[in-house]
Amino acid sequence: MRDFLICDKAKAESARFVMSGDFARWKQVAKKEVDSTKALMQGKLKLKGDLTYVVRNIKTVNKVIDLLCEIETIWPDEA
Amino acid sequence: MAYDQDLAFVYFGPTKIVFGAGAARDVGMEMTGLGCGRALVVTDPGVMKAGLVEGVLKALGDRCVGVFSDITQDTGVGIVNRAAAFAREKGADCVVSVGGGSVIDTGKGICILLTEGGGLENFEGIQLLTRPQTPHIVIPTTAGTGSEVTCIAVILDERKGQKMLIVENFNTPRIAILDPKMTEKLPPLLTASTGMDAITHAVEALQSVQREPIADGLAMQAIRLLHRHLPVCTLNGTDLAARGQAQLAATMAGWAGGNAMFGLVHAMAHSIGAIARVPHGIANGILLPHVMAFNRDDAAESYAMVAEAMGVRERGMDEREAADAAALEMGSFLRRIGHPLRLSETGAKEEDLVKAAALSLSDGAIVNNARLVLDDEEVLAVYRAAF
Repeated sequence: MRDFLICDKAKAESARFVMSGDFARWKQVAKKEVDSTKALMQGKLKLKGDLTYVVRNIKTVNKVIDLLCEIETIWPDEA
Repeated sequence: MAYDQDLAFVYFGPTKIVFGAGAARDVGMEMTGLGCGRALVVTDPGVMKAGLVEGVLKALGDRCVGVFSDITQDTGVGIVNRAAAFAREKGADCVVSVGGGSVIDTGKGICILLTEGGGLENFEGIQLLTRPQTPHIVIPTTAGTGSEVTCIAVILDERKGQKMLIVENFNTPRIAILDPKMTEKLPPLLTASTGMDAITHAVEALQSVQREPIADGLAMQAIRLLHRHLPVCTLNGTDLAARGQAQLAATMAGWAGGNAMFGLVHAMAHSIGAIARVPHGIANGILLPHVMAFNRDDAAESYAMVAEAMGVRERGMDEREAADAAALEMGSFLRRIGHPLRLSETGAKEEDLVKAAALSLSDGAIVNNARLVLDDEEVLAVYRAAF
């Protein structure tokens, strides 16, 4: 992993793959209440794009999600 | 039975099952029950030649607006796009697939394009759709794929030269008509290899990191039925009772695998299929006992359940011993049903194995394998053992 980038929706959607979902689902992932792979297969999250690329880089994808989980967060619905 | 204390899962299996010898004749009534009146029948030249479509067309009468049969062993985006254009031209409002996995997956692709428009290349992904798709009735002509009850379609993207995965709950077939007579003429080798495809779905569901109790129950019953009835089907294809049990088992294994997902066997079978054109069922069957040996320490409990379902877990055996007995029995079972035992028998070359091992690491099935696999050398060793 080289970098994080915060960008607008249009740029994000041009990526090789995009994982998306409701706020409540991402919150569950970030709190490690839901595994992201299981969430995808169960329709709780969505994936658009090159699945083989995701799988080939699954360690990195999981690492990114792990790092997201480590960020101290103030949840809007809990503030 | 050990499930994690925080077990949480979604079980999804909305397909209505219509079962019985001659049930394919009910297709017209089932279609009307869905509120549809204009069916596109999707099939392949082999199924047409075997005379399996005639009865379906007769039952549909003027509710059939067209037949698309230009489908190859591994269906592709181009085929689906052409078929969808044909369906639109005919004004189809539902799809009736008559065939094996490639035909059914083509049907799934057509259903998406009839509802959403565009080309199938725009729909690669997982759970992107937001509304129910065009109704799909499936009449399988093999007992293996399980695709008749899953939300998964595997379609070749010809431009990239790789299989594209479309996983959409909204595109699960509405009705599966399981008619044992539709599998009666299947030759012994195809019976054996499609049956091993189904057994592999069940075994891989049991060992998956996403396993759960409902899928486990379906997988266990699928293995019991196939272990008992598949040898009968290969010896006497006209035994409709055995054919029917094998069909039901394949559907149960489809539900199990469609929910709990698959593992290393499927990742390796997809890959050697792409590189050396080894048919999917045959690759699964050959690789299964070898992957069971490879996974044994991480999936002993699951494979002990396989041993129970096959009746080879003896009193006093611990889980590892039972897992070994299951792998051993799987090899013996392959011999009993006349299934190829080695990849070298299938036309695959030793140099194909290296490429296939690397490709396996990017196959979606591998992420659910009980044993974490990150090194293509490990996969290569399993291929070599099976070669």
